[in-house]
Amino acid sequence: MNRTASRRDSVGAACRAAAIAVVVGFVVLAAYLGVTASQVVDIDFLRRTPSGVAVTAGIGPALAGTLWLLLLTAVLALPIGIGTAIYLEEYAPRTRLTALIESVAANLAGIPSVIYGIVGLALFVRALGMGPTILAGGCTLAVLALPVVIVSSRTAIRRVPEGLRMAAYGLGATRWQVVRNQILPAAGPGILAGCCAAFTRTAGAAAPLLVLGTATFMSFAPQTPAHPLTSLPTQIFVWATRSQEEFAALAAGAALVLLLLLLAMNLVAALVVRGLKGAFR
Amino acid sequence: MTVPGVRRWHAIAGSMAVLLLCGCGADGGRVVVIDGSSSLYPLTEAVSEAFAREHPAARVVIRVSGSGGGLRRLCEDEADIAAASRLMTAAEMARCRAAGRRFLSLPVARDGVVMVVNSANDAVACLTLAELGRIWGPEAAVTTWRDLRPALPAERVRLFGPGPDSGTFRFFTRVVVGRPGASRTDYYRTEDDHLVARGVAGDRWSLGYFGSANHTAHSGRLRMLAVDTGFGCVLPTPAAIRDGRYSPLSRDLHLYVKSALLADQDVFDFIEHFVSASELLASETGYTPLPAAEYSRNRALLSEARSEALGLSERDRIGPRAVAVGAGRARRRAPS
Repeated sequence: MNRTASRRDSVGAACRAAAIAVVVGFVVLAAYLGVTASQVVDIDFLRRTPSGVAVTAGIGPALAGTLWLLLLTAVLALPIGIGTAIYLEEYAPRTRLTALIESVAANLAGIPSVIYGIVGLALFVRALGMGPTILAGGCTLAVLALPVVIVSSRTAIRRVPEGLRMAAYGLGATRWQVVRNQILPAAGPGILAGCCAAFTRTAGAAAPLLVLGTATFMSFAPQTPAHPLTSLPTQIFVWATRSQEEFAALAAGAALVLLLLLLAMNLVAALVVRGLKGAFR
Repeated sequence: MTVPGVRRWHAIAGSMAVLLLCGCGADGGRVVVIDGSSSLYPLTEAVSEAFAREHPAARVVIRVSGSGGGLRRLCEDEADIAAASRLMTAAEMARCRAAGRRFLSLPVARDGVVMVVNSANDAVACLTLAELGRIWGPEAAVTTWRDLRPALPAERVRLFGPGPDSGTFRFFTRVVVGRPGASRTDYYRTEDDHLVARGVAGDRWSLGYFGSANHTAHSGRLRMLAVDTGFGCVLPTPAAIRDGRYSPLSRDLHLYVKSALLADQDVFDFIEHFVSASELLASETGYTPLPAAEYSRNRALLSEARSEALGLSERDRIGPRAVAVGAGRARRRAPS
């Protein structure tokens, strides 16, 4: 065995070890959550409201809040984000302005999420008078998700082979026809994967919402975006700050539900990606 | 163009929307928002829970942003009721009045400001008010326990305490330093008592302070210190707080309600319930109840303010309780 080959082997082994470490880390985390949470998680836990008495506490309002926030983020961030990406890649001429938009979008992705909370507090809660509501939270999370959606959608669109575009234009397709019939179907899976990453980031964000002002106790599940802001990550935070073991178990239970929710979301996205790929071929 | 995956996505989004919409069908009343003190949170939570059990359609929300934050939001219409561990200052009152907001203040319970150390710290049992001033004052030079008393270990005192929006902070600095808000600033500050407690629980030689009712949530990891206010060392037990031996570090906790909102049946029902229930729930949640006379005075104040808010003249009122017993409330009273 020569030296290059053995080095390649050791790099491969290291990479495999890293991959296994990720899986083991996830399994250990999930198992820890599962064991700690097994005492508290049942159907009623998903319905009850928070409580000062641990055995009667649940995540009803927080779960509804997080579902609302995901929905609002999707409705607000997807059209704007994907639209921006399409504009930048397919329509925009290379000018200083587009270069500026590009670099702003790329850099925004690196700003700590709590800063988005401060901006959201000043803009949505105060200036636009939304108050600390689900709507204000959804808008803030949408802004948080936007850069990731834009950057990943652009990458996906850029990976569409140039020949595909040229062929379509050659057949006399308009720019919109090319985008609609060639670019979007081909880039769809990549765009969706990026959006999933963005949603996972926003669904787990507690810091920006805490800045906006979240409910510590809520006797009802929010039914409209105008209702007060609450979410699973902030509920986990509230419970995690107590010292009693029962509340630690509640926090683990809420974390487990959040984890399962995100897993389900990613699973659905994976199925959709497969469907899209099939349709494209 | 038909894409099976996209249809599936539509179905999922649709079912999620349906799931959200059919949450709890019935249209509840107004959302009652309480904001403010972390020291008062265990009581507001217990009272709100009990109220929600009795009135399943009620919608109560509690936020914790400190007494200062709660009072500010009360006057900015972001909250209906402020929970405060101190009295409103003259400046706050002026700002609130200038915004056209009138309010009613109701004392609901009493507590003490407790000094806590890590349960592993067995060197200290009691501190005097003067020593507290030397630790927490704006020009405090104490960095180790030995700086405080030569007999104590030369370990760094790590400090955790309430932040500037906290009522406990203003109360404590007024009592211990002499000026509200005058404090050293080189310590971990937060408006959430639980974070103070967690900080102290994580460091053997730390010191912190917060409202006594939140101590029960951390009693396994923290130890309360006695405080010597000139009459010997006193622990902040409910008995010592009740009979005044823990003064001047004990205080009354207040609710501030916007007067105009008392015309609203949901807000009035809630606040009425709060006043009645806190007499019983205060001791259960770690507070010291006020003398019974205070609660009946609260009830009288409340029904008076209620009839004023409804625009009833003195002549229309039969008695102080007459207004309070409306149609919706008679039902609730019936079984008792």
